[in-house]
Amino acid sequence: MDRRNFFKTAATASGAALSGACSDQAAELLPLLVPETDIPLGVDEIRPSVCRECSAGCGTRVRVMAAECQVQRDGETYRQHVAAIKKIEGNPADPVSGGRLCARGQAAVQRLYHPMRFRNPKRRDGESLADGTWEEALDQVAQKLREVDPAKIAFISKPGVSLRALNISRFLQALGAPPATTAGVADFAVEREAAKQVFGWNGLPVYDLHKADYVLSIGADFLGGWASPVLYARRFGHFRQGRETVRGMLVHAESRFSQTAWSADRWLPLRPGLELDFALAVGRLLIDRGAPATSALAERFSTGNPQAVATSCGFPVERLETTVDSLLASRTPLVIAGASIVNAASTTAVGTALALNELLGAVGREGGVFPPAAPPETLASSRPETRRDIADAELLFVDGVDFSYLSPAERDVFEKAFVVSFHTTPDHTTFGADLVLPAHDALESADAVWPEAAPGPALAGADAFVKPLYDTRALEETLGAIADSIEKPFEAAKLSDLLSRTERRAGGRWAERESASPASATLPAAPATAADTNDFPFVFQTYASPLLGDGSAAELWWLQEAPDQTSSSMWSQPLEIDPRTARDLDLANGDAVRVVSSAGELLAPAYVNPAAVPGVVSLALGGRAKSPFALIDDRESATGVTAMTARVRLEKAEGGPDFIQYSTVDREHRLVRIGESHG
Amino acid sequence: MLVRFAFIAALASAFGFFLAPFEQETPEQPIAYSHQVHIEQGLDCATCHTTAATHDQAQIPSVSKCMLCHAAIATEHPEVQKLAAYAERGVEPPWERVYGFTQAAHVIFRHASHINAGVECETCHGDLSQMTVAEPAVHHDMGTCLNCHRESGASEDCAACHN
Amino acid sequence: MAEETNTQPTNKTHKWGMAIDLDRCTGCEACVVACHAENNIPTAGPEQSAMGRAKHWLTVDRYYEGEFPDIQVKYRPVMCQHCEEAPCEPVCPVYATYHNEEGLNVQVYNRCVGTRYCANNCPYTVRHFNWFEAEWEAPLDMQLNPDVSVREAGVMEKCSFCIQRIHRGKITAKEEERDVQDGDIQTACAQSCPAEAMVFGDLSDPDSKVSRMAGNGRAGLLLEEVGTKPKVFYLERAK
Repeated sequence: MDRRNFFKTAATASGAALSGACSDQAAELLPLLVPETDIPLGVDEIRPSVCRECSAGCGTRVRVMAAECQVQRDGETYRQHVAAIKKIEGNPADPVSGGRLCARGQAAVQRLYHPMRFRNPKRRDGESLADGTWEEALDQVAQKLREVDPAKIAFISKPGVSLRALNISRFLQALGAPPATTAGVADFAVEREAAKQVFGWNGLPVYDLHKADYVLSIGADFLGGWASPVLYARRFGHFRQGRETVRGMLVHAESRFSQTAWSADRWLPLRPGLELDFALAVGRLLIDRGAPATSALAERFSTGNPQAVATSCGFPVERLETTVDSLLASRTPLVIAGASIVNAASTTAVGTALALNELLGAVGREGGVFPPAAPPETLASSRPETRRDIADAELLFVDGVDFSYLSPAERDVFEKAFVVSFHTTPDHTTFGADLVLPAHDALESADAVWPEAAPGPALAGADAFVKPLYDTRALEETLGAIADSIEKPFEAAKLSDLLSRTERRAGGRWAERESASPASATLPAAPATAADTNDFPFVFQTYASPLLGDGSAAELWWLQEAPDQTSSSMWSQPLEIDPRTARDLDLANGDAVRVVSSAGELLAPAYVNPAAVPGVVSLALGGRAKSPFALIDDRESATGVTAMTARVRLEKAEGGPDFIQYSTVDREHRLVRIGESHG
Repeated sequence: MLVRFAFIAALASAFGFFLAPFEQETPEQPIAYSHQVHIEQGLDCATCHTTAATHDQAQIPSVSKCMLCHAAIATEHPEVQKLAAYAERGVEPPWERVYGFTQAAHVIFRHASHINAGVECETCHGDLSQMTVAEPAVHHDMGTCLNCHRESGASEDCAACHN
Repeated sequence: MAEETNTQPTNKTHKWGMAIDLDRCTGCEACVVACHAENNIPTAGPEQSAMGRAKHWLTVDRYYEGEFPDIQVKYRPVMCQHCEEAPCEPVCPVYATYHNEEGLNVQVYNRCVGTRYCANNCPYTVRHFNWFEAEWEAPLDMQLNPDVSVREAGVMEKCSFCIQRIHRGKITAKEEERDVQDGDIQTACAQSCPAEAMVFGDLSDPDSKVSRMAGNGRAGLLLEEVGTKPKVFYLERAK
């Protein structure tokens, strides 16, 4: 199986014959079993569930019908009537999704029915993965566990607070191993750290933008796939046209023309790394124009230099001044602070921007920013750590994060450690793994998720309602078996421990927000500034696109084929370059570009993006090509998460990955360039 | 235009896609189930074809439904023994479809609206109280459907059935 | 569902239309994916997409305007406009596309012989041809919606305003002996839209949400000057 060709059919698959499960030939040969589901054919049932594509934790409604398929039971393959998932929509009862759902959540059904899904455990056999059995695989893990010092066990897991995370943490405690850690961009560790430093809050701030009238968002692509895309998109719709007399105005400051930027009334382009200076400049102007501030805040914000920021970023300083004037003149102003593109100083930048809300009196006030509700005690302690050095690990478990793609700098651990993946489909990590113990798909599992941002305390969760298609096992069952095999059992938490039957039937439990106690802001310490370097004259940034997120959605074909909003690309990720730089480098749309940093290099096709910040090139995550993180070795200073920017140089090149566009702006010409390799 | 239509009609008859019903002959079934016998026992259509009045499909019931009675009734009958053998293995009898439409017809047939409009099962499926093995007693083609639709004032819109 | 039922259903004829508020729309493409999931639209894959055969009944058009830093992008979801004077209808030699009495531009798959004249005539380029036989590699076919037929190669397809949902809504209303209420029937795209930008409903009902939006001062039609009389009202971004 070629890791670059996820889309290829069974013709290139190794191992067991992945012949068409519902083909007519199979229908003649194999018996049809007594139905596993009591849903009659042609009847649909609606069941609640929770989406696991990102950590927003949207409650969903799933349309389930009986369908005929080939399933594996006890090592045999049969034709069977099983419950099949036809469509995933939002759960109207859930305050986060409100009955709506984003593209990624709807595409999750393609993960459940992915043709390349692992049907049984796999073990490394040279360059490829060969079929294995659960007995052998678990024996192997037990063997490793007996050899390895518990301190050298690492577990990389999905970000967020959930029942799954709770069971992982109990497993690790039973083993005497360090807590789980997460990797990559979907953790929002920077925003959480900033909220903690500034207000002492534990979790992501919640922004009531639907009740605000003027919003300045700094660095947070909240519409494009940030903390809670559906919640914030719903709130945005209401913000705009949901009220009789108020139409909300949004100004967005970010280093790329993101989804939030293009939806805003004005985009203030920032150079990557200037978010902190921008926030200081805004604070300075606010205080100069009369916003009340403590002396500590006033002193720090006095270092703001609006003119310098505006000049560096390439827009007239009047725009900044007008924005500040509008904030002060509005009844319910709000600043949304985030780091969709993390760089070394992001925690400070986000914290400083968050603190602007205090100057505007927006903390805990209607249409303002609110502290997060606290998750239940048992769940809260389950959140994986933001960053842990796993270079010395000898046994590495990976679940729900394509670690090899998101952290290529740490790939050395694959040489030293025995790597076990629980993922359901082939990804970059499974191609380096020693063992794959495929867990049930999220839609085949009971789970509960504490949403990262919700209007009030919420826990979305539901029982499983489709039987597993293949010989996979629930993660907690596998972890339980592993722990038992070395006589270190743990008590697995069940969904019924967290949610009552009625709550599970409804899809979760929700409550009103408690009133917020006032908080005063403490600004985070200013970080050291990085030296500029002429060897690498351009800035490269990577980001989570609205369709593919942190890359984990790259396996979902609907999302690969939906045209990317920025470049209209499908099945490919181009490097977005501003027109002037493209001209200087003699690059036209589709030309291959070599991007080189001090950490590595990669090839990508060029897309001349009229909205790109001059001198800044961007590449979305989620490709079949080399990870953009290959270029990055910088870390965010407060949290230690990997940065998403690097200084690079660019060279015109040959070859490189595909660039397939759905259409260009004039719909007359559509660029297609099929690369000879996938980078 | 007329030539084109004639050409298409000729092709269509040749391939039988548009004009032929789903099944011309009585298909052979794995078990010689007799509708007549069961109707005489007092069962009606909806007892087994449970969702005809409520959903698009009428259902061919699972062997587990048959066994609700046949675990105890007529157990020595050779056909019932065949049935029990399927049930024992946990496998459905491989019933052959009698009525239906080809994929190329693009028909989404909805039983419920017909039952609720007062159409009797016999109208389209014939008098099963006289049949042993299910036969395609009523010829189904688009003309059959349209005639009834015209007479009863139901929709003649293509989109009502083809979508 | 209606909480109060009418005493007698009136058997009225509907005139289906949509309104899309571009001040709410963020271009997220949740609607695009919803449409694929609902309507059994095949995935073309990279090779066929490279040949221009990716099918999206609903696309989000985007047009850049201006230059950095005053750059703006205009984006709008575009699907079949179910034009009252549809240019695609008179040119089909086999009457595979016509206008029904509820205002829908209907595509009859089994009549279509694949001349593609209709797609050629459509000014919105919303008609898509099945250039190859679609395959859903198992078990992806388990997700197929049984309410929507699967089209074979050689057949034209396009947005149907989720006619299967319209049928369902009308059948349910008839069983409950009442009229269809505004909001009973939602197309997949409108149902999924997180910003609640898309609204589907009965333009012949002056109190329906879509009618009220169509009467909004910001509302306009796409390519109105061509004279197709489309039935999707776009509410332009407010200033």
